[in-house]
Amino acid sequence: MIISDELIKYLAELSKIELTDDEQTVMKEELNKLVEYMHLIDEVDTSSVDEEAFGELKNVFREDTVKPSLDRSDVLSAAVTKNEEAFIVPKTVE
Amino acid sequence: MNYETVIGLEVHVELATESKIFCSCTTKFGGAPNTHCCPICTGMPGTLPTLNRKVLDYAVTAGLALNCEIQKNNRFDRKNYFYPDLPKAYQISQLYMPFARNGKVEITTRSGVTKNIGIHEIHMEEDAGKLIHSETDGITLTDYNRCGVPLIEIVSEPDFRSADEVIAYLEKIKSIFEYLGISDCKMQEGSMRCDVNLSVREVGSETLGTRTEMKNLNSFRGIERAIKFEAERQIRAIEAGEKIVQETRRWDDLKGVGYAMRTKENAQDYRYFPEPDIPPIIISDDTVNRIITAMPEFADTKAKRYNEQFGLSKGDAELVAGSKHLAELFEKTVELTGNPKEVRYWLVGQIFYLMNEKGIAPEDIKLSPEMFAEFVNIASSDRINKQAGKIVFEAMFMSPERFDIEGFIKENGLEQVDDTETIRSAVREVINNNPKTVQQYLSGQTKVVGFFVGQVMKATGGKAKPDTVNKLVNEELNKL
Repeated sequence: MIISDELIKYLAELSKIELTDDEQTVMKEELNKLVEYMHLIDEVDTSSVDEEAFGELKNVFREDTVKPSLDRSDVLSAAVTKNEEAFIVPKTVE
Repeated sequence: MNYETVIGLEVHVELATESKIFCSCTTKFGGAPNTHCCPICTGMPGTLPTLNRKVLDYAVTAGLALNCEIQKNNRFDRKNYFYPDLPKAYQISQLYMPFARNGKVEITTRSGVTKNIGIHEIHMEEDAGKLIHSETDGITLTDYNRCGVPLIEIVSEPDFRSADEVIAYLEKIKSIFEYLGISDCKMQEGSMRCDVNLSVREVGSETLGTRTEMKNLNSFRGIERAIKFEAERQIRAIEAGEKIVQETRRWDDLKGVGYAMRTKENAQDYRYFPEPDIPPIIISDDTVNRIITAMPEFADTKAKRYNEQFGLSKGDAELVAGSKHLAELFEKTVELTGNPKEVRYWLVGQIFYLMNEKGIAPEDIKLSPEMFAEFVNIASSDRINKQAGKIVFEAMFMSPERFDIEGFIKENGLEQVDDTETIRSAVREVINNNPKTVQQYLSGQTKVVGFFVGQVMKATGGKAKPDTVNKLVNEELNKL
């Protein structure tokens, strides 16, 4: 088990989400499966591959040109809580 | 016990590009909330950020101006944090490979001390949005217009020992960046912001004390007050036998106090990792050389030149060169008139005076070089004397829009009188009206000549040519 109970609690705190004990158990199991799956890639011999994940790709730029932004109604359309001009979140300072 | 304050700064500067760092939304300040947003800067899934070429140019320019070593290999990293000012839940920044390292800035404080401040590194990143906290109903509103505005963060070495040095450094950076045109560095609009890392230690000690970080500083005055407050707080705590806690503190400029943020907010674990969406950026020697060639002359060099070439005093030269706007006004007017001496006279005597008197910032001066030049040409001819010149200058300086110098001189009858007969009769009249003073003169008190000159100037409404008045007063007195 790579992901311990402590780590799950810590990650939940960092991510600002509250987990019940049951949810923690489920989350721990799923995350561990995920991480184990990711470790499959260790089986590939990459000793001859350059560390640079991008290969030849480099210096991708765009020019400094302004293009129209989205309509605000579109920006806000998927928000759960909003008013006519902004997203609304729980108050973040006391 | 004697303490010294040790300060390091993190200065954030917004770069003055037209569009954002990774998308094509405008960077304009203000605008109705959430109207400068697109899927990229609001962090919609599946979007791809692409670096604005001009951001890199401006960043490298800043790095070179602050005497840094520009790094050839550049990568971006993700700084993960969950706070609603950033809808992606991570900021694209540079942790592992910042584009500039090992710089230095020479500063001169108000008290005349010159020293070098080391630059540890500079990195590029994107700005976050603005949160508006409601006073009443427990909610926070988000405005993401500023999300993705390009920033550089300049991390200094802990080389500052006083608020004075900090202010001198910030003013220097502001001046350099204004010259370069890469940022307007307006603290009140948040285009220049500053975090202060501060600790105190016994004078002579080599080890650093525990530091605190102050955020939310948005004016030179606020920074100065916050530094003084925090240094005194730490010294008091140490004297009382308390331990300084490493923490982030907020400065409340209205109340004039700093306070610690809750410890939970202090938990910092950004889980940095390389940004997989942006390929490496290689800054070639060609790029660096192209930027070096295009660099303008900086305030330091300008001030030295003004002093040597145009005879401005060191202090005046620094004042003019320290503002791009003033420097341009000065140089352009000199170029138009070919008369640096006269331009200097009115610049130092009147512009500085009026700026002080009326509280006008250099960038708010509306007088154009063309109009200044026209004035200088008139003032250096015999048409008006200095006294009348001052009246014309103030009127012109305060509202230069469509100001008519010739018209103003005529309307107010300010043309210089250099008609010998008119002046001579005024001199005679003054001599006749002041027999007592004439007696003083005849008894050897020659300094009363000045009194006669003053009276004649007054009698001619300040318009007589002072040289002629002087000459004729002496002539007439000698006849007695």
